[in-house]
Amino acid sequence: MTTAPVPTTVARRFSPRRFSPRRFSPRRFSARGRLRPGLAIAWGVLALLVLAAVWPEALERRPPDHVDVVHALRSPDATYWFGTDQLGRDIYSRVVHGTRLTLLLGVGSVALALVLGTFVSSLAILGGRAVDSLVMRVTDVLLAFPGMLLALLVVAILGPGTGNALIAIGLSTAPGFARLVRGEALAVRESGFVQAAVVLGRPTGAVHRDHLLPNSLPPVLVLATVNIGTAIIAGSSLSFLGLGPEAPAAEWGAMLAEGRDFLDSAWALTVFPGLALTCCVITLNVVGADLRRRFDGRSRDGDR
Amino acid sequence: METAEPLLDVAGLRVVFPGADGPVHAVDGVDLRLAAGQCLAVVGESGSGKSVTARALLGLAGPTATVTADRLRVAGQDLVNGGRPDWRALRGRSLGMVLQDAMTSLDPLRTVGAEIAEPLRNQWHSGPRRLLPAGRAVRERVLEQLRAVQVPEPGIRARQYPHQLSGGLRQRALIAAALVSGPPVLLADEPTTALDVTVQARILDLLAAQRAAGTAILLISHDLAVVGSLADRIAVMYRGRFVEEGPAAQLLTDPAHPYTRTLLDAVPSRRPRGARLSLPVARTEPERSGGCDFAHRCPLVEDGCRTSEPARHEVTDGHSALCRRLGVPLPRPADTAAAPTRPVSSGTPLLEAKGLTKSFPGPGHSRRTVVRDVSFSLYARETLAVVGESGSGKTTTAQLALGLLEPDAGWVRLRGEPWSGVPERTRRAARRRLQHVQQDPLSSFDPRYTVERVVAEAFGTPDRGTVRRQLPRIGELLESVGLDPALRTRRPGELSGGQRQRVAIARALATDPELLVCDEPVSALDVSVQGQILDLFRDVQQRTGVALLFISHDLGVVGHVADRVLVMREGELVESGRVDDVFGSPAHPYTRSLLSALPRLPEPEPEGPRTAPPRGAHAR
Repeated sequence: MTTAPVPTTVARRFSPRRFSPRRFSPRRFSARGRLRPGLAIAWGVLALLVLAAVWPEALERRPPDHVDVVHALRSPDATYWFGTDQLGRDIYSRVVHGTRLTLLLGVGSVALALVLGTFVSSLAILGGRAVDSLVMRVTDVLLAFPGMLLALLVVAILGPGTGNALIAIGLSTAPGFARLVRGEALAVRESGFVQAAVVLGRPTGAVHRDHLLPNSLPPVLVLATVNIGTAIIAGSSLSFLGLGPEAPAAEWGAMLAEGRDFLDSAWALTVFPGLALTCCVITLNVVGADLRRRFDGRSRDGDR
Repeated sequence: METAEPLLDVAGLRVVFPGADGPVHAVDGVDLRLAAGQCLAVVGESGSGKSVTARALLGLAGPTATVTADRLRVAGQDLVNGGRPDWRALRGRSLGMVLQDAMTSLDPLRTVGAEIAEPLRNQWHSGPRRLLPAGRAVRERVLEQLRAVQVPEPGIRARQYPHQLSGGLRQRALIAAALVSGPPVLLADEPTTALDVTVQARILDLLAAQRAAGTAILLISHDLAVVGSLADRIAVMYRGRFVEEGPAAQLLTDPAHPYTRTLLDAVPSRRPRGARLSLPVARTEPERSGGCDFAHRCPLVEDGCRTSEPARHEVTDGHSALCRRLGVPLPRPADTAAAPTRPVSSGTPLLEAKGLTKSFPGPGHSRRTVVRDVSFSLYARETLAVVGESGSGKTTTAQLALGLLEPDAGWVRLRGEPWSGVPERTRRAARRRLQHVQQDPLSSFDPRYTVERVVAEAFGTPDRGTVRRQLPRIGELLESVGLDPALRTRRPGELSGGQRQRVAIARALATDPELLVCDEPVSALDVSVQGQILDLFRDVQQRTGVALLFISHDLGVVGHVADRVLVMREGELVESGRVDDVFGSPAHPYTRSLLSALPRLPEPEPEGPRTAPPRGAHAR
């Protein structure tokens, strides 16, 4: 008798594979990581942004601070791609040079928030119930303020400047990280491998360092990628208000503020820094989402 | 036996999945016939293809599977030649399916009544009449079905949600949903695996009643004892094939295939106390070389097995096996004599617990007492078992003994020194004398670690330096638990369940402990692997003299390993004593009910022509 195929009309959602625990393998990674066109563009733009931040001279067309009043307030053309501002400086070159400060503010403040949040939550976890209550109540109070308000408060105390803006945004972002790290670490603390480490007689601090923190970090890193975009906008907002980097420095928020007075005569002064800001944030969000898709759902292999 | 046309008639069923290294033949030519009122059981270890077989019959093998068959007839409907089968009409109406995990199989947002009514509504929608059933008719049918599966107070239960029901009631609700539209065939995939023995016994009774009422049952299980109490015929599945098939009683008492025989020998309740359960067979990785698939694990293997496929031989009428070495006596594990239980020691107990009580916050401001006034002493070198059903407080007792929880009242002493009620700092120095083997080894390993780092943690910070310094010791430990030291660079996720548990035991032994607290260490394992791990515990105990506090719900396992036993029920100790006394003449009615609910295999035939040396004393 010949073997005949059994026709199946199984809808994909009935497939039992969907319910099997996620497994991680290099093969699966590449299957999940296939680049769709949108993603390819996002990664490409990110590469460009990083290049602009690290080596702006490679992309600039003339020095960003080169004043040339004769050619002030030009519209974009073949020589001045993005036009010139009220002092005749090349807007394109200034946008390129502004990338470094903008990214520095975004990435730096998030890194600061991450370190601070991790430190504070470690304190809460290791310090016992009283310290935990105290630290987390303070965190609650800080979380109750809108982030921008908190940042303004810090700048009001420390004074304006790139470093102080970075600190201000970092401080206003840190409470969210503290809360997330603590929650993750408390969940990891209930796991079998932490119990195993305790039974082996490992000191509490070592268990925290070897197991709790490393296993709490992946979701926190995901939050960080999401927060960089927000932090960049916050940084530009501070510079827009004149509380960020000092005057001649090219920074997108500051450029927006300067261009505001020429909105009716020279649109290029505001449109191009604004576009750069928007593209940068969208790119970071798309890339962040891609990273999250790849690395979230940690590999807890569990086939039985 | 086939009086009428069988309800399920399958020949040459094959299911192939695409795999990383070429196609995987999950089911490789399975024939089965099942008539009304019959029960065919498919047994086998995990990965043998038994669940895939059931899924393929329902058209649920998955989008990547290629299902082929020479013949596939379900309830008179030809699914191979009759064009695209209407699986949806088939499911529920012709084939009911009961899955293992009732909690995940029931929708948490729907009442049990709605869940059971769903197949009815589907059937009416797609049925010939296409009439919407009256609400009341559905309700009455649901209640009737709940009564039929012996759910007390069906009116109330139908309005409750799955989380409000106990495990047994949930499984009943699932069976009711499978049966409500009156399918002539019921597929039950591990229907009792997640349940306590007493509940399991009732579910098996229920399935037996359904079979008596004329339902044909295809029962899938890894538990030979469960199968033996219900099935008319048993098929033993190994790597996608039925390697042996025959009438249940005959197959269990007089198995022909070496695989079936090693499986049955690994059942602890059938073997003398403390006897070896597994044969030392070199477990090399098999290659599909055209020979017998079982050759690499077979104690009877000869050269011919590796080169030519075995043919199906009839043992007796209706009992066949896929083996060319039938009738060859199977070597027995070395020592089959029952080990005497160690005499109860005197002097200072290794671990002593007195009046342990522990409660946890319950709903509202109430407190749920999980362990109530439990006292016991554990002496060096002995095995003390704690048995009880889920929720009896076994695991909490283990955690109290380990000093992972502080008792609300009572105390624990380790060698006469206070162990509870002291700060963790004081306890830490002595922690290495007391180690823990958890039920799920995988979750007891840091997911980022390799095997060597897992074991290295016993020697300090599990970093590269420690691993390098302790490499010889790590290799030794892995070898001592029967693992290839080359596995040390693997991640636990890549290992099999048995190998993982061996890694966990290696880590626990790394500190030279005096006591191993084992919390259900074998309950997630297949019978044959369980046998190997129990043998490992036995060897380790003989070599190192470590004492065991052995927590288990499986009375068969406990009877095999323990010297003394504590029986727990709802947080209280109801009976304790030497295992022979407690199991031989249980004093407490609860112990009696536990023992009587235990499904038992028929005793093996004493000295048949095919069963070589005497099988030693009976289990109990």
